[in-house]
Amino acid sequence: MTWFTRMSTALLLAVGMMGLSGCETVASTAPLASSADAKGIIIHRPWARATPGSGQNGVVFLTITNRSDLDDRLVAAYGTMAQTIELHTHVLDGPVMKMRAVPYIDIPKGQSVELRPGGLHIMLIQLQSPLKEGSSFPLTLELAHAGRMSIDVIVKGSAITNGQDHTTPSRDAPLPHPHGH
Amino acid sequence: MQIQRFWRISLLPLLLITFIATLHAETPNPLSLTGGFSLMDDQGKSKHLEDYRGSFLLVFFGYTYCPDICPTNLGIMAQALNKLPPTVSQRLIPLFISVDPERDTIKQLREYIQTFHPRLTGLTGTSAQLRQAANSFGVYFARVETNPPNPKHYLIDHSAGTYFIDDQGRLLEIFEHQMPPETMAQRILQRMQP
Repeated sequence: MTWFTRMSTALLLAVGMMGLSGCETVASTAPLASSADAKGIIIHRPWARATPGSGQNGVVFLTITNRSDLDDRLVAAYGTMAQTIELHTHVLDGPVMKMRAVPYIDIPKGQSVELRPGGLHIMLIQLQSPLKEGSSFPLTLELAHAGRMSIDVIVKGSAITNGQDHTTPSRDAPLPHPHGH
Repeated sequence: MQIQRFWRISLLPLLLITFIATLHAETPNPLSLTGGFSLMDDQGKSKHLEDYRGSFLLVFFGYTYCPDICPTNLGIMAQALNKLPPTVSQRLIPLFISVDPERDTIKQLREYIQTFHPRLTGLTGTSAQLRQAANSFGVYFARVETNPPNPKHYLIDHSAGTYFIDDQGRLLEIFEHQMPPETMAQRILQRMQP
């Protein structure tokens, strides 16, 4: 258990720092997808991956910024779109990707924490119906100090690889001639 | 002390040269498959690794209940394919092997892969067939129970690399999880263009 805790902490720290540096970009590219409460917690760009086929499990990503004077933590998420909703992280163990539930996600004061592909996420288990690209659904986040916040999660394409672009697979410009090695 | 100096002066540069030479050498390849596979495709047809002889392959192991890692890597695979000149991409077959035969039916597998690329083929099989296929590729997968356990909600730990196989069935490279599609396309081109 201790190695897992240590790895989770390291991951949280790393993700937190990346979130901080990318915060301005995130806010400016998606001006409509932020919501704030009176307690200084801001949720940026909540999105879910469309579930391919009859997809049973879904995943939600977002960035949480804590502008309050208190360290906070995301402790739960609630919604009616799935039977079970859990907070998860990914741990890359050598070449093997392991997805694990975490009891909470720390959101230190003055910092942003990014939930993103390949890392922290909100896991939707046993969806009531597949998540269709272009739709949205409500989700309630529970923070230890700030309390509950309601957000609208926008469903983007299944094949998104980093949350920034590439909505659907399409033919991109071919690569220039490869350079030799 | 003398030995240390000897090491520094003569052996280390030698090792360095050997290392650089190895990097540039075309053979031998340290990677290899230890066997083939015998699986069923998303049309219900039996497929063996040998059936793909003559085509290059991109192979990813996963499962359709995988909400993030598999879509991310299949999305990257699709983008890389679309970046390749058609003369190259038509000699390359993308494969997704589901290691979750308990939940992934052929129909579900077919619906899942169609989302990512029209040329992507899904494969699955019995537990024993999948274990054998994974062993051939050196792929790890293991079922992980949730807490509290629920027979329908288990997760699967699995290798997250994309396996690049040449037209003779030899493993060329393992592209790591979340490799940028541009990089993957470049690496494929370097191997596939004469």
